[in-house]
Amino acid sequence: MAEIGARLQALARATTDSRGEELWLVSLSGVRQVASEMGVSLREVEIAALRERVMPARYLRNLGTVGWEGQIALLQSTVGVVGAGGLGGWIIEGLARMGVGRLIIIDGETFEENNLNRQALCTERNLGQPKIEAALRRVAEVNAAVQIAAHQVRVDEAQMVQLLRGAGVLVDALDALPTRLALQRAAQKLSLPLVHGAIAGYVGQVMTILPDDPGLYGLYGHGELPEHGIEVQWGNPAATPMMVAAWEIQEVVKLLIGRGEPLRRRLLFMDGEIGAVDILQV
Amino acid sequence: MLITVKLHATLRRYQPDLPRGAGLALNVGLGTAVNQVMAQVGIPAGAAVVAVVNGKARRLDHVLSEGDTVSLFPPVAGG
Repeated sequence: MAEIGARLQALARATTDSRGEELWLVSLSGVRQVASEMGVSLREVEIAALRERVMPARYLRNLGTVGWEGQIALLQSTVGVVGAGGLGGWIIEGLARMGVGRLIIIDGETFEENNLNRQALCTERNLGQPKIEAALRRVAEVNAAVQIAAHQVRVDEAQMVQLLRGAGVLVDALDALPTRLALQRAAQKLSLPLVHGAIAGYVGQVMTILPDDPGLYGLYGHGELPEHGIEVQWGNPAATPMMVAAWEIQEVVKLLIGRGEPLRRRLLFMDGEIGAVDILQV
Repeated sequence: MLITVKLHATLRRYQPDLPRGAGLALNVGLGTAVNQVMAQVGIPAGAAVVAVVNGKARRLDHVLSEGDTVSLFPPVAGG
């Protein structure tokens, strides 16, 4: 690691931050060069750089909100994202850009034409192809340091427990109520925090659920549940998944870096039609 | 006793004349539960609804008190 540090120091260039203080930066090509020379992953080089207080330029605009140790924590973290559709696509993109080091992504579906209006990973070229493949390709384009374990399956609770073991935070980007409850039970079994998000038409909701919290059971009870909510009538336009995914990304980052106050036992319910946000105790 | 009912998202259609964000003042009998209020504002029995009383999620058989604000939300499950 000392050798990597010395190599990074040699490639780093000095700049000044917004307060006029000296800051050392290493470029993407510098990180790639060191990774290739030393035979280590991009992620390890970035972590080594941050430890030497050399900032990979790609994370420079994260620094003010996550800090040096926060960026290291993000790169050392594993986040499980269940669903790579309307919410999941934006969430995967956002977490990769923030520099979350490892993602476990689960989705069993292929893209359909009706996904084009809102799903970040869906393009005219990949219709009919697995969402998981698009996620892998997109993350490789956006941040090749991020390592992905991709699972193209429709999961039940037992499989979730098996596949998501090793993650630090789980993200609900699913599209049906019973599966969401199964994910909450899986998160409880794994003793992991779960960031829940759901959308329908103009409205969406976000909540961070810790293993002891009532979470979705506090909202929907323990009785029989409908498979779907009002998204069946209202559809899913482009803006709502972006808004809810953005909140979910922020909740994940806060949990990983230990900063801020999560939306714990609080459901944020936003209504884009009337421009209102309610916070409900759950 | 007097309570206030607020309908959210698609549930607003049951009180279409109510201004957006406004609450409906209702005079109900002692011991009235959330599901009875739902019937009173025209929400069909058996409809999936999330009830929030004074900002806290409650069961549909939760018995209300004077001055309570009942907010009703539809289930949201898309992704």
